[in-house]
Amino acid sequence: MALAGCQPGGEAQWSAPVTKSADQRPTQFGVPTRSRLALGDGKSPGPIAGGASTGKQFVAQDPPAVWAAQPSQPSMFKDLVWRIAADPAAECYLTAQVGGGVSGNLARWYGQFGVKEVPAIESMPVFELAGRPGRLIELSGNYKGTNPGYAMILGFAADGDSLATLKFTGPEATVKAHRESFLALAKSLRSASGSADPKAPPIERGQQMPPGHPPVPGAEPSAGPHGTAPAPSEGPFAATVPTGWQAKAGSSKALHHTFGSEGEVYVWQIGSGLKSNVDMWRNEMGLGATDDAGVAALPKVPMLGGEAVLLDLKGDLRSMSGKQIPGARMLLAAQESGGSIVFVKLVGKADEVEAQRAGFLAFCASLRRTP
Amino acid sequence: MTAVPAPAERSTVASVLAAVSSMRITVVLLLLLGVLTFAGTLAQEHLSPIDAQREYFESGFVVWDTKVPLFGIRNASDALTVKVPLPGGYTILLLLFVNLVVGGVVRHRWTKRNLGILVTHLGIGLLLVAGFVKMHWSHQGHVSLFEGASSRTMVSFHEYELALLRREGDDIVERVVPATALEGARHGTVKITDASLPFTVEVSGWLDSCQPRLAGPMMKPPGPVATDADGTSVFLESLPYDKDAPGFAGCRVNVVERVGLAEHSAVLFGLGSGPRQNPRQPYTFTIDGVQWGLDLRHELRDLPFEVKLDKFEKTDHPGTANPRDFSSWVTVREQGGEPRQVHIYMNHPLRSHDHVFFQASWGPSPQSGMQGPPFFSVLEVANNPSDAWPKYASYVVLLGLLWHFVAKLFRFLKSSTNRASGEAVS
Repeated sequence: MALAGCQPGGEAQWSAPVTKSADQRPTQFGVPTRSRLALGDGKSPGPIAGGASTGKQFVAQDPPAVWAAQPSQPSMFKDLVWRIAADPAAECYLTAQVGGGVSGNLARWYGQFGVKEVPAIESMPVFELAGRPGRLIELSGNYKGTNPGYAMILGFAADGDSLATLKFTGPEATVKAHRESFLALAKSLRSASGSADPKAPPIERGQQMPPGHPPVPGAEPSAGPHGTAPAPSEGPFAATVPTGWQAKAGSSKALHHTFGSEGEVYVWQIGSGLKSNVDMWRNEMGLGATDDAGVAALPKVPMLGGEAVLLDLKGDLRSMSGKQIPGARMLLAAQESGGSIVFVKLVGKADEVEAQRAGFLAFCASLRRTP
Repeated sequence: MTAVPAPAERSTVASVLAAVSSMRITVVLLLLLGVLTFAGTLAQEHLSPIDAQREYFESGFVVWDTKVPLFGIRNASDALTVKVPLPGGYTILLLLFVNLVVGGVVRHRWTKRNLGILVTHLGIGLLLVAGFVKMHWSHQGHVSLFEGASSRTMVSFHEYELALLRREGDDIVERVVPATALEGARHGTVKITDASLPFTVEVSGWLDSCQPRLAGPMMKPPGPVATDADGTSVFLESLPYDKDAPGFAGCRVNVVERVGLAEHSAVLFGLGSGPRQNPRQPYTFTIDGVQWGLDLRHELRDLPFEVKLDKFEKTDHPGTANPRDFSSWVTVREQGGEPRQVHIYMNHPLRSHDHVFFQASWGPSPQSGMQGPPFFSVLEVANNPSDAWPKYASYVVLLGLLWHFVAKLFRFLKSSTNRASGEAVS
């Protein structure tokens, strides 16, 4: 309503430059688009949902020989492309990140074969894409109205509004003949910050790859310290990641990793007010608010070149993002500075968290801001 | 020697003044004000209060679009749509002010007998002037704080601004353009230039209520897609008007470098500046090694003092989640002054340096999907130069009416006494 009834176009002038202190204008530069626009998971502050990954972070490790890698076509949302030499009409490509949500994309994919009724997602076979759980679609018929006798196998994994997809289309005979190799190709996929094998250590930026290994985005020919990945950086932070933590692809949080059955750890930055945030974290664990003396008595741990307060809370987790873990434990190190709080939060089942305590403290101690 | 107007001129001036100050015009204007109030109230069925206020009471002219249910028709969609043109509240009150001043002050004889009426008219005039000043020169917003947090900035409820930010040491250098200067961005492109900057910012695709969406293949976005340097393609999707949830504004910006004409495109989304939106996260681009930020935000105004929320208390009605009472204890720190504690609760605002802080609300609200505790307190802030004028105007009106009626009483008593003594003499 504010700008209704106006003339199109025009010119405007900036006001004279004014200097404000960082306290008056707490500002975080260089935040990735998805975080900046609150395209989070729909539960974080902000109206929209999501997590983050970029197409450049996916790689196929030892894909079946039948698949010949092609140049990517980012403008067509084809981040990794393969073709089959025997049938140039068939094509398979990976889209690392596409918006529109699950229902919207399902309607689009089924619509490409003239199907208006989309079956329930629960009826679709389970599929795994670069370590992320998803579903598989298999359709055949007239593809886009101009390709009769075609078929499509498509696997997708959703994260909020965003999907990663692996799509294989071509003449029906070719697609059906290469169904198994398509599934093998899907299994070979992994993200550069994650792994298709949940037991395997994550591929981190700077990690040394075995001799003869295909190039991995971000990997360097240098090895990190024994038992750790060498200080990956993500957004404004970098830290040494303990062994056993799996990088979580598609998250908008910094250095987001998982461990154990339900455990996770990540770095995040929020507005100031240490006590109110301590109360918020306690509330997530079903604990009551504390007082100023309680906050002042919290132990300190080294982090970001200074000190952070350490919370060690036990209870039943019911986070604001909807995650619930009965019998949970939360380790949280928070440092208030410059009008905001940087915190490292580790939650999981109590027994699993106990095993991660030393690694968590080492992780906090190694945390630093990237230039 | 004073020039005496010719009789013809005098009569023209007098007739104009007579017409302008006519009691009939007063009655017509008051009736129109009544109709406008009725229409503006009904309009809030489909408009938010702020939009109804702008459309009906702050405008010069409005078309009251109403449905008249005909006899026997129960379905509102079948009702007869009637468009009634009306002068807006701004026009009516301006005319009323002129009518009041000319009729009640200029044309009235300045005698002792009329003094009460004159003073009363002046008081009503002051009331109208206070409204005029408030509309043009006041600022409203909020300061929302969790316990322990402090702020020296108020955030506008409804007004947006585009801010250009640059880090300089520990400070932020900012330039702003109010959204009112970007009106042309709805249907065109507004260019923001500054000779001291190495780039021009082009703003387009303004939407009052929208949400950012990730672009996908074969999608047909309703607006242009902006691809950030990190490869994320986003477009803005317009949201239907919802009077209960007005949503957030958004626009597309294109930064064109002066040298080389390289371009940086992005979508900006005006998320609120509540306690959970700090720090702000502007769209960042780098030119010649200097990092710049563009942020679409609710207008910020710095306060001449700092407010720290020490404690927020909310009590609910027993057995319900409906708040019975909520209030805030704050510490006000003024430059060079001693900190002072203030309890802000209903009808007991904090007043300082022409700013008034009311206890307005709290959060997170259950509708937001988040639950407290901890809660944050929402303090509505009004910076109104004419804040106290209505109070003074009321005193003036009271004084005028008192004078008028007391004088009238004395005159009545005096005439009664005279009559009585006259009758006694006869």
